[in-house]
Amino acid sequence: MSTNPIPVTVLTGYLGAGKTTLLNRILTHEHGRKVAVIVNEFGEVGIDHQLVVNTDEEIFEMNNGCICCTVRGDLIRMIDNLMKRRDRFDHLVIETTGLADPAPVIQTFFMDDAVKEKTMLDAVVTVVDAKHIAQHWDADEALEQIAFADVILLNKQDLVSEAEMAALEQRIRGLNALAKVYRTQNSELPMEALLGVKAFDLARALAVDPGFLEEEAHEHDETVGTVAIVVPGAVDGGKLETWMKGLLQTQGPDIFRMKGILNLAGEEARFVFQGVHMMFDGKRDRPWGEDEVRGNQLVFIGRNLDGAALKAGFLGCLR
Amino acid sequence: MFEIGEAVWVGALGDYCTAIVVHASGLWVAASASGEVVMIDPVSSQGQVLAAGTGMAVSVLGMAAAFLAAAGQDGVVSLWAMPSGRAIDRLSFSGWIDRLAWSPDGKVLAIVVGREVVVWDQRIVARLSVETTVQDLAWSLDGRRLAAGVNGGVKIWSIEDWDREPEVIRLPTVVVRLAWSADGRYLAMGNQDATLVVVDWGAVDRPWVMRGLGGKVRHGWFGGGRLW
Repeated sequence: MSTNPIPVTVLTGYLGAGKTTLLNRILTHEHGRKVAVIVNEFGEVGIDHQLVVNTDEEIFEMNNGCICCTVRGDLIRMIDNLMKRRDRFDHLVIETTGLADPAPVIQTFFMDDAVKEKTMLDAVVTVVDAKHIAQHWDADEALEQIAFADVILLNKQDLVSEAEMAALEQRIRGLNALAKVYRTQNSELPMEALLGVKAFDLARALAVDPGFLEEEAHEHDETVGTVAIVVPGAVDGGKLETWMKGLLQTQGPDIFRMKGILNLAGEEARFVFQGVHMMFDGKRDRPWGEDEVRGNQLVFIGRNLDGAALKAGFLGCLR
Repeated sequence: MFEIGEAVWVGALGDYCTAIVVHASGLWVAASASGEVVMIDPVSSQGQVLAAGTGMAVSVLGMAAAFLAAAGQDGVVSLWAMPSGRAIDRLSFSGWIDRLAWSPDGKVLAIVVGREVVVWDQRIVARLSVETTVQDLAWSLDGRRLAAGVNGGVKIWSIEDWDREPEVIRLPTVVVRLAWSADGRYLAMGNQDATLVVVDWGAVDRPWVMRGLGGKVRHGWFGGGRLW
């Protein structure tokens, strides 16, 4: 019996984007993994499978003083049940409805003790309908599903022109510069790009497109976007803590995801962190390399973020 | 009857053993994650298969003096007469069933079916709707009250009238485990937010709240006048 935590992939996207096609591919593909699936609606998955189970979305507020700390009660219960069949699967996929908020799903894996012990969030995968996304830009769910994602499939590429696709890809990178973006048809993507991504593994904290970091300004009219800060220097741990605490208290609900690598003053090792809303998770990482330039990289994805203010706040933490 | 350390029955189930219950007669019943239910007589060392494996897990067994209930992944509650092991009823619902509780006299079965508590007394006698998923059920030891832990507190029905609005204990958290004291005076609630709350039935508006636990409370029971 294996006691390793089960990796979990969260699958989001609008109805009709290609989520079910992707799910069926994951279930039938010979990738050597046995996959259990939690779905929100039965009948969409075209496979009779004992490890495809159904739940009804149920949000629990944590009432711990953090207004955005919500978890999915239905998932806590279902994961507990599924874990009694632990030997039958080695990867769990959770399919959310097109209108689901990804945050409570993600937070469940950090905030519920029992779930945290048994599972490890692997990645949030979002399927975008390249042809029809234009109709959904004004919907919060569409933006949030993209903003929270680690992997984005721009699906149905065969139905749009190259120019439309390039514009869409640019717009999506403006929303979320951390995600890996793939153009797909029929949700076809190598399984390595989907399962076992380890996007929530702190050891792999940051993988921003270098091109994004180099660009100075990101023009976008969306309320949702990415702010990247890259600065040299050493950070004062105490000042950082005070700044971060204040930031999460005041802007936590608007910060969807954040990740970073920091050079703490007096430390030989890198400090890596990630966060979802007001939830912060950080640890000492490997030592800085001899030839490595010590510096700081932070990426925030969220709503109404003021890039200049964030940068100024962070610069105030430097020694 | 047999010495400690002596195996009286050894058998393999099709998957993990998910539940074991003991009947007053000394019979054991075990269930597995592939759906088998096996009754074992430790005296004769004989095992009797009550339900064969279907591939769908049995999550919960409930033993009473005259009945055995089993339920799980397929949403079916199977009932057998005890100690004969004769099948007597089969109730089908949708969704995974992982909580059920016999009344202390062993006659009435309460089953959690999502946002509903189904009450069986030879037949289904009540379907109690709740706004949120029922997390746990507990009968008071006199069998007069049935409590359900939910998001937002506890609902308590009186067996005299299932149609009457349940009493409500409101809490700002999700109640995941419930236990009554033997005298029926205290009700303990283990909660998602890592608190333990105990109410005195005579003063439900003044709960005792215990904080500082390392994690959410997953089990709890009253024994010997104390809460464990």
